[in-house]
Amino acid sequence: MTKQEIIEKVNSVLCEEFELEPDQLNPSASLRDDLELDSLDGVDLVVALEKAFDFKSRDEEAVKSIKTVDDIYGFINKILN
Amino acid sequence: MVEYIIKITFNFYMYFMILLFTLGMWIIYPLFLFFIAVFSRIDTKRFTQRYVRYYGWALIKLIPFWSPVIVEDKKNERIDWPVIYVSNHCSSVDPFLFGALSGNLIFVTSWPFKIPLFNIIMRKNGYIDSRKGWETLKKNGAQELLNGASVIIWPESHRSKDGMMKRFYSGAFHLSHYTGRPVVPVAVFGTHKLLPPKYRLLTPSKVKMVLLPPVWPKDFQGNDRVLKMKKYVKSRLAEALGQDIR
Repeated sequence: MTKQEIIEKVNSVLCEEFELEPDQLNPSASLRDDLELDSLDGVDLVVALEKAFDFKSRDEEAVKSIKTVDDIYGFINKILN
Repeated sequence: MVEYIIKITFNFYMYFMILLFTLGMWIIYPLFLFFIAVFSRIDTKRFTQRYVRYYGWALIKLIPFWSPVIVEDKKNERIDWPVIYVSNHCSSVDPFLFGALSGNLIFVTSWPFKIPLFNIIMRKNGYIDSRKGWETLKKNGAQELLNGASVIIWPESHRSKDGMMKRFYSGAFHLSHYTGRPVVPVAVFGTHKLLPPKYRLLTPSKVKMVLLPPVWPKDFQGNDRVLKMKKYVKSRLAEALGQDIR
């Protein structure tokens, strides 16, 4: 999967599951401060990403280190490639 | 001009009555509490939860916002409460409406916890500060449900400025799956016109709340069960409110 495909699919998950607008999804946007996702949204986000990209996350530290939209792209890219 | 005079008169009447009624209720509260604590075996926490609900009920019955608040029960089944009520939120008068429902009730809210003294009473009587996060909601919400109190959660977190439902947070649905208790969606009509966010003056409005059929957590399976339930409940509310959601 190319980086662009990952970006599009992650953005689609964020819009679909968390009702965010596409123009909010700047790579540097903070999940907590800019997108106002709370800790439970973080849990739900991992579940939604696992379903969308068909993987099972076991690296809790990597999940905890996700702070921005770009971090999500990097996280998925690392898992898939 | 006539409309303006009606509005000013309405506001004068409403604010005067609400102030008078609220002062009266809170002046006699310590007396009731004293007698309950000394002469009865009723738990003071349960008593306070009931007292606050009666306060809301009395307020909407005795000082109706324009015409009596209508409660439509479309649950279609009798369920043993407690439940988790999930509602759209567009006005600071919304919490009062829940006084019309039965049983003990607690709120998950944030701004009343900023009021000195009042926040102590709220915390002591089981009301939950949403700013404390999921662990607090899980622990205290489950405890209150176990003790027989229904939990009211506004999943939008803040009041909607335009009356349209905003993004839903998932705390209510995680709590439902954690406790096994159903979510009862409650569609509230008319309060946005009555008193939208950032407005001080009330506008006469007909207010109605509709209780929709319960949504059980067992009907949603898989890792994404919470997300599915959240979407489903929001779609039921949107349908009842006549709002489009994507």
